[in-house]
Amino acid sequence: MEKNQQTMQLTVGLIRRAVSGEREAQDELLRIYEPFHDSLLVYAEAGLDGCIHHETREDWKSMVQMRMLQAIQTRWRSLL
Amino acid sequence: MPSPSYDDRLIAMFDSYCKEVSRNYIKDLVRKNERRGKYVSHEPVDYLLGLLGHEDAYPSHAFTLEVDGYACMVENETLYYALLSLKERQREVLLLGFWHGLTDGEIAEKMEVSVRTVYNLRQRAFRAVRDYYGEKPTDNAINSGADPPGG
Repeated sequence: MEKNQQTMQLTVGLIRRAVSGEREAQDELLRIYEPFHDSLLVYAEAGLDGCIHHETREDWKSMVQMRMLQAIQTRWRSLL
Repeated sequence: MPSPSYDDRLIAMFDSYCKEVSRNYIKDLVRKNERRGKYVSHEPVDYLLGLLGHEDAYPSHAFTLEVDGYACMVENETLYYALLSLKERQREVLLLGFWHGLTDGEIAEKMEVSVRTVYNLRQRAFRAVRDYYGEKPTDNAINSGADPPGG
């Protein structure tokens, strides 16, 4: 089974702790998925210097993070 | 190649689920944003600072909000009512941050919450302010002489 950047860092213990609501585990989970979320929320914008700058929608990012934590606690609590 | 263990499969399923939830939620956000057809800033801090720096058409008028015993003068009427529409803790985070220049750590200490909570309150406040501006005509529109809908 091929592993990606996220699955290489995940452990079953971490998942269990995050799903059960442990704050530190959830923070670690968000850290692991941060590059993934950034990749989804990046946009290009022309700056005043005429160059294209890549920015991340930080306001949406926190909403996505909260949604992900909410979803895993709802869906995965009964599975683990 | 050995078959993946139970743990590996569980991790792969979990990873797939997290990514799917995130992608779907972003799609929802994009759809909602398109439906509203309104401007959404990519950078909430710049957005709010832009509002604060906006020259009001009624310079003789000022609105006052209070936080932590201190008065915060708001010159922009629409922004004042947008701030009034916020929940108390959301408004407190914005006022302490932008008017009093406190850091997230200082705000968290003052409000006896975590820094993450301060961040989340601010994000919700930004969203609420943007929503408010989406629903109400801005001072710019009023000052430019734009006719109200149906007028």
